[in-house]
Amino acid sequence: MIPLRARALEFRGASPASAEVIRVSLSADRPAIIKAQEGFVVGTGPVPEGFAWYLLGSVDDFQRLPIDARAVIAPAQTMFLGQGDVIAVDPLRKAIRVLYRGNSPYNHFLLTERCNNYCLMCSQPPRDVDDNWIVDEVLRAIQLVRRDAVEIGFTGGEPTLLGERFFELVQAAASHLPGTALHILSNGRRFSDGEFAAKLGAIGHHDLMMGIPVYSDLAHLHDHVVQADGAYDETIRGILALKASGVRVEIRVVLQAQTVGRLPHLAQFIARNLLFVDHVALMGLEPTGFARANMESIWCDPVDYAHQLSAAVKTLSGAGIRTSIYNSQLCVVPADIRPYARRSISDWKQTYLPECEGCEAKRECAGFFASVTHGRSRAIRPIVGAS
Amino acid sequence: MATVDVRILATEPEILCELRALDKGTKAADADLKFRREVTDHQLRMAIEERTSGYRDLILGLAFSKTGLQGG
Amino acid sequence: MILSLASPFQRPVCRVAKFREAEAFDSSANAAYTMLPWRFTALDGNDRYVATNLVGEHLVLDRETIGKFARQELAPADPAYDELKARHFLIDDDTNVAVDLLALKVRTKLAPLANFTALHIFVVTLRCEHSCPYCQVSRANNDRGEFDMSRETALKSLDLVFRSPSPALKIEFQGGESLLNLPLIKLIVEEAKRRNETARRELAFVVATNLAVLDDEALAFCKAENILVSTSLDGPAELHNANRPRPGRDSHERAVDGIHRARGVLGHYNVGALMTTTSASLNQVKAIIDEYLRLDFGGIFLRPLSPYGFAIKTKSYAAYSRERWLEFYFEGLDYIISLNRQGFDFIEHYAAMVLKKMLTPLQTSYVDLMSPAGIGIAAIVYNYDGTVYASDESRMLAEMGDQTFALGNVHRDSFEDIMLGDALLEPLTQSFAGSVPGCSSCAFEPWCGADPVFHHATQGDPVGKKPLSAFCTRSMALFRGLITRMEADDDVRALFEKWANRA
Repeated sequence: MIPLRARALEFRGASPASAEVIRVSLSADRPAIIKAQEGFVVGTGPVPEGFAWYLLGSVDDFQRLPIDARAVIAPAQTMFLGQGDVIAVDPLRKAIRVLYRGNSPYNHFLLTERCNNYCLMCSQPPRDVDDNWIVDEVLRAIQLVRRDAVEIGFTGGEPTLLGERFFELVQAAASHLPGTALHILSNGRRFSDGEFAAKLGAIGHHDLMMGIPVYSDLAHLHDHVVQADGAYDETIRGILALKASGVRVEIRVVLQAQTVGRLPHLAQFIARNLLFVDHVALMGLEPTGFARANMESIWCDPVDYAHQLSAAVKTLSGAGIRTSIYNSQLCVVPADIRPYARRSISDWKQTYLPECEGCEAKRECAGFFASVTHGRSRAIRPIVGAS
Repeated sequence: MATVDVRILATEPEILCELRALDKGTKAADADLKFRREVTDHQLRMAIEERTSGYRDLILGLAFSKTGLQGG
Repeated sequence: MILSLASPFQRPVCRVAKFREAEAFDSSANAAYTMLPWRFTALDGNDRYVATNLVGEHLVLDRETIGKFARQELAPADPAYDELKARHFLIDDDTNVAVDLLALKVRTKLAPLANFTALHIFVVTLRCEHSCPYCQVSRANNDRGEFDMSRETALKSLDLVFRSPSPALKIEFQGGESLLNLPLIKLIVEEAKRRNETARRELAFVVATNLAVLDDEALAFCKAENILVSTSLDGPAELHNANRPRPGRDSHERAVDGIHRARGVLGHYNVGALMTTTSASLNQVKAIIDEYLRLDFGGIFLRPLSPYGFAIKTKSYAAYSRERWLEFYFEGLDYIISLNRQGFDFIEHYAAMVLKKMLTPLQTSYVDLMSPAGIGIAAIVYNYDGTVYASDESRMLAEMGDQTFALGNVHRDSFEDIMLGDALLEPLTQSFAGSVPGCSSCAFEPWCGADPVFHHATQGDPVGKKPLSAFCTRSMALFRGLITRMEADDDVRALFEKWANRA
């Protein structure tokens, strides 16, 4: 687990001004004009002059800095920061935030903590706070992201609650990262206003996918999961409006006690009503945030819903819909649908168990969220031989 | 397959329905039950059609005014 | 793929949130539900009914539930309530997005109509060296050029082909024996491809041939131009040869040899076969299917015999009853299901096309199962003499002297005259199954087709009296047979779903 944020850090030479978003350099050999915009990670080598910021692994490095240099001591972060990473340096809050990591294939920007859903299993519990300043930070960060980045994501909270500023962010991603895919997690409700959807479509982003949750074929069960009355109809209308505006849509279904019972029905509903969606992701629970607090009422062991998952995957893929299973361990996914399981948990969050020793499918397996030690299937076992 | 022939004798205030078996295998009780069912079903169908015609028009109206998404 | 980065902000102490139970979101009991358009028809003698919504999504319910629902008496706690709600039979205080979704589904079903016409059949000659008694078009002696399509007729016909708005155009060569006029086929292919350099359609060609006269020249041509081959295979040698007499009594041998040679040159999947059902077929459906298995076909189309051409003249249509065909059909279907149970992938195409209408939001392009009728819209026929017909069946009818569905002639009439004239639009409108008496209250209507040519041929009226119609009897039995099998067995349902998606 890599700490992407740190507080109570020691700052030197910096006035407690508002946060700056900067690119990180490990190389001392940069043009002066660029250095003035970058933060240098101080290593064992010589420390050059002229960088906007210096990131230190230890307080002992202070004496090696140029006079009047602005510096922050962040031992955990200097360990992993790489060339081209983007961070926010925030002397006021005595914090740094890692916004983008060049060597990670996917980087997600949290746009707001506010949300109009309140999902039972939210891994990122919403807060009703004024966090408009985040948008400015992300807008700046997008300009600094490597232009060969494969994909970035926007998440929340509910990004569309930002209104016009949401479009500003999508436009920024379209303009500054013309070769980079954009994946946005949204509950889709705001798009039930067709004009809002049309506006997103009009940006004409080159590679945009909206990831939108649908938890049931029955409105009240979906509304229960997201704890918001009327959400279902808005979400479905939102999906229709987005597709009518030429925006690609991925349906995301979290596999939990409330959703697995009618999973085959949901799959049939999607195949019958939403055949035009671009992807369906069936996602194992990520047991953090509310999910952790509500574990007892939402947990369903994957071995207990294997049958429903299998039926749903067959219905969806049979109808020609691209279908994936995320966050599930291969040994608890029925063999006939294993080809749909993706290695979805990224390296830095991923771990395996002692039971996984000797498993031949380990390389293809998503494994487990390293940060979480509960919510694991009772049926984890090594896959050996062709079985 | 038709198994009975029905004659309707409308003599106000009653309506008499006379069922005649078309083949010898048809039992009177079966024919009676079947006929009653047909009548009830027919009445239900008419009621459904009447109650839902507004929504039928609405949905067809929407269908022809919107862009289709589910291409073949 | 998606990782949610931990919030860069201080995580709130996870206050124990107040979550509400599922019941709190279920407003379905607040007020009476509103029925959306739906229909019901008896499934069998066991009190089971089939209910369908506006676009043909179905449920099997018992009679009592049907009655309750129709009388607005179904309680939200009834298990059927959720199923009806999820399939858009009703809306209530909870949700009404069904209205939007139904509108979209109606549109999806009808959308292909705007892209008429996809299949263009060229009858390049009526000549044939076979003399099949059931042949549905008149045949002529082998050497009589007067039954060949002329170059001028072909070019005029191509003018019409490219007037169709359809983004995909398939040109099928039929006969007689189409390969007896290979030079004209070559001309049409060359000319169509030339025109398509600017027209930019998705262009495909099919040669329908009995393969008996398939020589290396024809094969090389098909290979070079990417042309598919479709042939006739009625079953094992004895049956096939009895159905399809030709000098030497070697039709089967030549067909099988042709299939092998054509596959060798064109590729396995580029050679298809169709069977025709005759009274001699009726007691050997398994043998017929086995012949398709033996020849390594992935499926079979168990076709009913249509009441046209020589089939009516020779009384072979009347020779067996519709009930006997249904027995034949279901015996075959059950055999094919059992093959699949053994892990042998094999498809029955007729069922697959019907199932596509029943189980998917999409429409089939099979002419017989379309409503509005597929005539002229799904397919159009250019006869050797330039007469344009609304379907293959229409020209068969015309060969019997009935010109009702002749839409015009490529030499005399414009595209507008032909496609927007009364000869096509009248029967299309009249036969729209959604508005035909007897059909409008039938639960199977969304799956059914209007077949005005069939009804005109058999009853002298394009709409037809449904209870007397063999088309209706056959279709009803087919729908019931398929549903009964799905209801009884989840494996069959899964298999049918698979077929529906492949059709």
